[in-house]
Amino acid sequence: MLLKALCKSYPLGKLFTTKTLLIMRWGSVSKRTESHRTSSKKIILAMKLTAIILLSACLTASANGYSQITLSEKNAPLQKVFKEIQKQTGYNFFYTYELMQQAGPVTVKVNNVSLEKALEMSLSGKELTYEIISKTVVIKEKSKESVKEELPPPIDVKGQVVNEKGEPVSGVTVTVKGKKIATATNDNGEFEIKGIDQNAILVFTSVNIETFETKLNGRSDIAVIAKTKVTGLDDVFVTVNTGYQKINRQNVTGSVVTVGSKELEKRNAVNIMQNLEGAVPGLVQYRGTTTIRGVSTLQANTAVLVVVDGLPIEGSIADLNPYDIESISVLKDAAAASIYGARASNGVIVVTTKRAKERGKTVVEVSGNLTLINKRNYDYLDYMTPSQQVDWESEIYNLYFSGGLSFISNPITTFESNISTGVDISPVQYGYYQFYKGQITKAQLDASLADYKKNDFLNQFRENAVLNQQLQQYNLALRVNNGRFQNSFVVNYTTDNSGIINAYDKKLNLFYKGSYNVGNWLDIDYGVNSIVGKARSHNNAFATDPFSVPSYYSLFNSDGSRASYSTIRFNIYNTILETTPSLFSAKFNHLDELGRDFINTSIFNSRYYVNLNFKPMKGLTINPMFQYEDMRRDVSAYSEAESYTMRWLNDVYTTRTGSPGNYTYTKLLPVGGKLNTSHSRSPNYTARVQANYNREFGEHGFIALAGTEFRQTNIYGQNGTLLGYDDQLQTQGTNNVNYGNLFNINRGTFWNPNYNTRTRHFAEISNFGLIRDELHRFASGYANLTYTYQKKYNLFGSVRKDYADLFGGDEKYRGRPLWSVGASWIASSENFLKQFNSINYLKLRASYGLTGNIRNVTALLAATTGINNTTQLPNATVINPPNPQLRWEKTATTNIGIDFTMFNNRLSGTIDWYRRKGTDLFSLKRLDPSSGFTSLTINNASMVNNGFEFNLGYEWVKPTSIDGFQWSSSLLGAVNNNKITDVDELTRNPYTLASGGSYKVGYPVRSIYSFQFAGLNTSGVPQWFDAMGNKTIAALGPNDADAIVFSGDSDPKVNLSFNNDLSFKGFSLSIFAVYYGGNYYRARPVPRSYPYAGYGPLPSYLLNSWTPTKTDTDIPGSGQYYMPAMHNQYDFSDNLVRQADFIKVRNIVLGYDLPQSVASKLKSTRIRLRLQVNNPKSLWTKQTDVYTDPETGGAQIPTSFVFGLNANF
Amino acid sequence: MKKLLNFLAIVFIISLTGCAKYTDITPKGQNLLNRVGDLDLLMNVDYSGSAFNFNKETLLIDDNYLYAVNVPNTISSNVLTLDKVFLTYNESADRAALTPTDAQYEGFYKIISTVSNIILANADNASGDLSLKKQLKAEAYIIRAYLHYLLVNIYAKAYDPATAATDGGIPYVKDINFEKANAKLTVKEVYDNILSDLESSMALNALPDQPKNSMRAGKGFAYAVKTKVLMSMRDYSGALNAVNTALTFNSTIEDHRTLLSVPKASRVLSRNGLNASDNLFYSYYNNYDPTIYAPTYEILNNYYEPGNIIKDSTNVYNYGFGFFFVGLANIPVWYQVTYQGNSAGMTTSDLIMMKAECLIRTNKVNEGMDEINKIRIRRIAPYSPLVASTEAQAMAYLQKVSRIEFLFTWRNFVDLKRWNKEGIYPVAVARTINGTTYSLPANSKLWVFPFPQSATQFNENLTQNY
Repeated sequence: MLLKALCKSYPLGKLFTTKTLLIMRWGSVSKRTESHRTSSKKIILAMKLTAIILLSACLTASANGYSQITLSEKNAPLQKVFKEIQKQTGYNFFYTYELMQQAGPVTVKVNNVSLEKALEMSLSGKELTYEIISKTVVIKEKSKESVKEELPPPIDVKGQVVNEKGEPVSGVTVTVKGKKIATATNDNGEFEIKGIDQNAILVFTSVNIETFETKLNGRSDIAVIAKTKVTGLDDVFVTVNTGYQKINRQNVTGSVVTVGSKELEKRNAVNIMQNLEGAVPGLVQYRGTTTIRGVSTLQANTAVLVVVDGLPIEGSIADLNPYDIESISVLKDAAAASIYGARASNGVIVVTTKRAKERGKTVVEVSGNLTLINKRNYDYLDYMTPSQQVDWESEIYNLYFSGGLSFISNPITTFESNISTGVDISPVQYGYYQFYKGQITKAQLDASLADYKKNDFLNQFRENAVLNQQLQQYNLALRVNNGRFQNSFVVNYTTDNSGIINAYDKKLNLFYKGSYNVGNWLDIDYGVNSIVGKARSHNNAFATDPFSVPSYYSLFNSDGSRASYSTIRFNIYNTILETTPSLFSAKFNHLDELGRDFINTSIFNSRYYVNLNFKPMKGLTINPMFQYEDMRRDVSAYSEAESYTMRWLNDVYTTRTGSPGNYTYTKLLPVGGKLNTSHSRSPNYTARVQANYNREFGEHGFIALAGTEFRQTNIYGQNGTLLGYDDQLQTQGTNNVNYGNLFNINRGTFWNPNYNTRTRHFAEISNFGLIRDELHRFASGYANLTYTYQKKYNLFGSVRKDYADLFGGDEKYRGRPLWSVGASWIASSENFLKQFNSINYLKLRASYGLTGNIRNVTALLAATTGINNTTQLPNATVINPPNPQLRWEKTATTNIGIDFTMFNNRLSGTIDWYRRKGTDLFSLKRLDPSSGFTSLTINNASMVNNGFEFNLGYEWVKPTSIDGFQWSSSLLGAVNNNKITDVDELTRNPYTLASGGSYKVGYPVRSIYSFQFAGLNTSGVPQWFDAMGNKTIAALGPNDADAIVFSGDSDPKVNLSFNNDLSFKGFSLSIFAVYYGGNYYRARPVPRSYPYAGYGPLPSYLLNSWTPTKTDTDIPGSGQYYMPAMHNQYDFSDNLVRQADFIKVRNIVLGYDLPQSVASKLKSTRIRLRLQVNNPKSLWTKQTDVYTDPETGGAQIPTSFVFGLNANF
Repeated sequence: MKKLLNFLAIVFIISLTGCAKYTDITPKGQNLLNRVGDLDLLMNVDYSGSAFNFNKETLLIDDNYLYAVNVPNTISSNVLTLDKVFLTYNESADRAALTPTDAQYEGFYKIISTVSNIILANADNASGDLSLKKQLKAEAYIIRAYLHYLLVNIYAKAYDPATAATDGGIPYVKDINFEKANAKLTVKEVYDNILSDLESSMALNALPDQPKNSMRAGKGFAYAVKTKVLMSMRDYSGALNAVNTALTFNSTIEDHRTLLSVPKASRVLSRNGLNASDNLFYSYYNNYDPTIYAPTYEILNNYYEPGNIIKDSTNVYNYGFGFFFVGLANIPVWYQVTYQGNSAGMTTSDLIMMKAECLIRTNKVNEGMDEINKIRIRRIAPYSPLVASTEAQAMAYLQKVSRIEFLFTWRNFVDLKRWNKEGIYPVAVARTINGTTYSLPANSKLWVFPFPQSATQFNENLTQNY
């Protein structure tokens, strides 16, 4: 109905001038405050009214001249009187017939009086008043105010506050001097005050601008230029966008951190999450996961909810254009996040994209950034050098062929059989074989070994296949704001060479957003955002891995041509595949395969939205919103016919019949390439209707909202395979493939009966299937209220009820009310604190509330469809028992916080303490297995996160002018302690516990549990302590669960970030460093013992292996001292665990703003150059005896250099 | 203003009631088990994996050593593990404390509860093909009987007519109820239930003569299970009837003689697990069973007949790997991944050997020996028939042949447990490792495996049966 009304009103609205609209609104609003009708009826009424006024305005002929008025009417309708006045004066009249009806007839008799007098006489005794605007008389109902306050008639003022650069200034408090009327500017610097004196004086105050006053002098539309206060610190008065509402920071009771574009643009980032590191205390991004105030769940969703321009999105936050972000708010406690109810337990990130702000101007922003990333470094793997490896292998294979390895009984025959069955063989091993066979002399052997030592495969690979990763980002934004229309069009293009030859990753992000102000009663926002991505990566896992061959191999022959060697699946000394005409070569070269076998990924994600903003009456807005997201992803992996993948598959699926010398080979696969495809689609929508009410009554302020939201997510797709595919000819031969025959080849090729054919290859040639159609729905209703008294005391309460499609769940549990309360006190507004000049602002906050989380499980007895792997027939399995009591997880958060600015705004900060108690967490509860299930997922665990956060900023040097020297620092930190307080401990099995298969009460969720290493025994075999404290080499059993020790939490307990900003005359320098610590990780590689060298590089710890003469080591014996490992306890041994604390400089940014004089010659308002270094070498790491980086657990994040240019026109 | 708020409140409430309906959706990919076709999918169980791993049972009876675990190290270790208890026949060890979980107990009951019982509970109300519905019910009864039969043999004493009514058995689970703990029945009650399920299945007369694949039950398998159960209950004539019926559906025996036609180096023993023609019901732990199993000195020296084709005429037994895996000199491991043994199901070999014993035990010694020789002729080269003059002599031959025929499978465990309980033809179990001999008395409580803690902690009815 609303939409229909909107469509009707549109053409009318276009005809209005600003003034008529203003009058119309004035009348309709004041009338409505009196009447008690429903809001939708109001809108219809407003439509009617508009039409009527318009009609009367058109019909009324305008007359000229001015004269004294003489009237003599008895019991005449008012209309008649007005017509008479119009005739005599030429003034037009605006009124509604309804008003005239209500007023009834009048008796009036005047002689030669002024217009005002005549009107007063005509309207005396009626509840009507008038207003003269230009040559128009508007007749309207008397409002209470107008009854109280005498003329001159009040006016409505709107305007915009901009700074010297023309940028809008938000959060400026606009007060009417001498009155209690006040408002604040919105994000666009706009404000509106109604019903004030024509000659009122407006006072503009804010922490970022110098306070100033302006006299209205009857102006109703003003633009004021504020002088920026020169300060580097972020103010505390900006508005906070929670996604559901925009609220002044003063009124917030929860813990919210807002990062503005100024802060975000300080550093270049590919992904906006990178820019949030160190900007939000409590937001921790560590090893690929993002958490806000610690982990809050065991089994449910751990993803932070991302909200863009008011609505949650399903797409990735990484897809958002980092150049187009106005602000990001992170909602941390319940009072802030509870409005998101059952999806808020992991915290909420609210992103607001930029919009056209500057009125009457077209703004063009152009940016380009080039990021050069150092080549990936493999040092962390700590392999032997080629020379060390040749020596190590020589020693082993000398023993091997001389019978020195007790477990190889007939080395020569075993080895020859290995050649014929295609077992992997290293060249050193083959050399010793030839030597022991007498085929070569010791001198020849030594010569070839010396040659091998000269090679360095890894180095060649890094030179020829690995590239310096190069990332280019371009951004173009066009923004137009003519006051009623706002349009932004943003194009972002990024291209990345992926750091390896023949690969790329390109993405184009197009975003059009607009808003249209239909009238003072309606705004429409709409937008389309499309992301088109194309990426090519490599499909052959051997080719991208420099460690798929021994380190002393060479990529090239001595003549410079590409060398051919084998992979671990075969050996170069067996020539059957090379010499048999109908078979394909099994030879391999990394560079060849990096050009033949690709995965092409194409994505197309779009998001469409329309938001309406009705303002039917003062203080009330009604907000229907709708968003549709469509995410499409297509992956096609094409292995060319010549690729190793296809050659090998063809050979593997070739059968041989006949006798030696007279073999017949039958190919089961069609000759040609292979195309594996996968298509997934994910259409999602969110619809919301919300009412906001925001009004002040004297010292009492109310900010309220209520709404309802419906949301659906969906994903589905298919996979397929084409065999015998030729991309050029567009032919394929899958039709002729007999999959039954292919499946029946379980093990064995004609050269190796033990080759695991089915497990290794059947899936890649028969990748058919569905991505299960998964549909979820969420619905909710919510409301919240902030009450403010004297602008000092705020009380907040919220309630929300959520429903989700817990299939089969009891309806009673499907919806769960979640709520929160909060209070804040701006102590600095109290008189007793005002005497302390050092305190500029002080606010105390406290909140408590519940948020939820869900895991999509089926509560009903139902089976999921799968495949019987033995018969290959579809089957169904009942995975979980019926459990209708499944319900939401609940996280109760208590938060106490303080915000302050002190010492003439030099020091500012926020400190928060919190306790998050999660209950009803999904976890496994054990059942008697004779019920058919060993465990059941129910809501029966709980955990607690305790912590505090702080954010301190200090301005060391305040500039005296905008170009002056300025230096400020900020220090952010968070400490979080996570502990499980209740869980069903599922196992007493030491190995299961150590490998992460269970939780323990009293310990963190991400605990590391380890076996206690007890040294090597006298044979070089590792031992561990059992529960009695005895050393043993055997696997520990259930009685030894207590022998498992807690080796620390793998999540960082403490993280700090330290930022320094300096600027002078257009130059700026910012240095940003981080510390993460208090956590542990399995830092050392698990020392496996090697009976002999494998086919690949060898870890350098082998050089430190146990021998009878070298017992001071924890590396088990290898080679002749090799003992097969009896269990995998070393994987989780405490001697491999290290503390993960580190300090790193994250980036150093040097920026330069070209002087205005230079920029303006280029027709630009601002040109900025930037040089940024990311991740230079770590400043400090706690552990120095390991090669892995504590931050990643693997290679250190490579250093990168960013060159950027940014211009505005 | 008030009316406006009222209006909003009403809108709010209406939308909330709408929420419940809006979120009431049936997910795709979920089988609601209310159509016969859905239940048929449920019946396509993959009877493989750790639930069908009978290592601990075959280790107990000295068929094999540990599965890829060093034996001397385990014995010399001061850590007490179940491996060590079974290797050394340590009766005083608290086995229950060493058994936190048990894949067999959990796996078998999972199939009983979530396949058989759901089919039996839902079939009558399910829509679809009536004859398929009957067949599914018949299959469900057989699977339920078969798995309970395995469970009662593992966790309770062997059936003894004298004490079965009081010997503790296992829960016989026939309903879907996650609320109440299942009661532990006596051994007799369990066997009565097994027989009753077998009767119910056969009464439906709906099993196919030949199932669509060997992971589905057909008549041959149903009668094979019945034979096993009746033999356990010492009803040899009843069992003979059942096995004769079973043999009418399949009597093809696996033949190893074909290996001899090629040179020894090229002899690759192979068997297609699912499609082998001697399958009655196919079930396994790993699809390369019995690869990795290491036979004991006693099996190698006392049970293998000279001329056994696999042992003496192929490279199936790999001595190098043997030392690698179990650390004992001259112990090989079976290493032939192309052979997919039916380690946890049943084959026609079961029928032949069961028929042989039923004949021998019912005074038909010669006929029984003929059956035994049907197996031997396909296993031994050079072959000569065995002849027995007495029941005891015939049983001694049968016990030797059957031990090798069913090496590394559950049948040897169940047979030895039965014979030792019966006491007429007991089979002594003892092993010597590095000079020390460990023996398993016929009445040892080790024959009864402990219920795992994962069961006893959550079902107080489950007291141990030893």
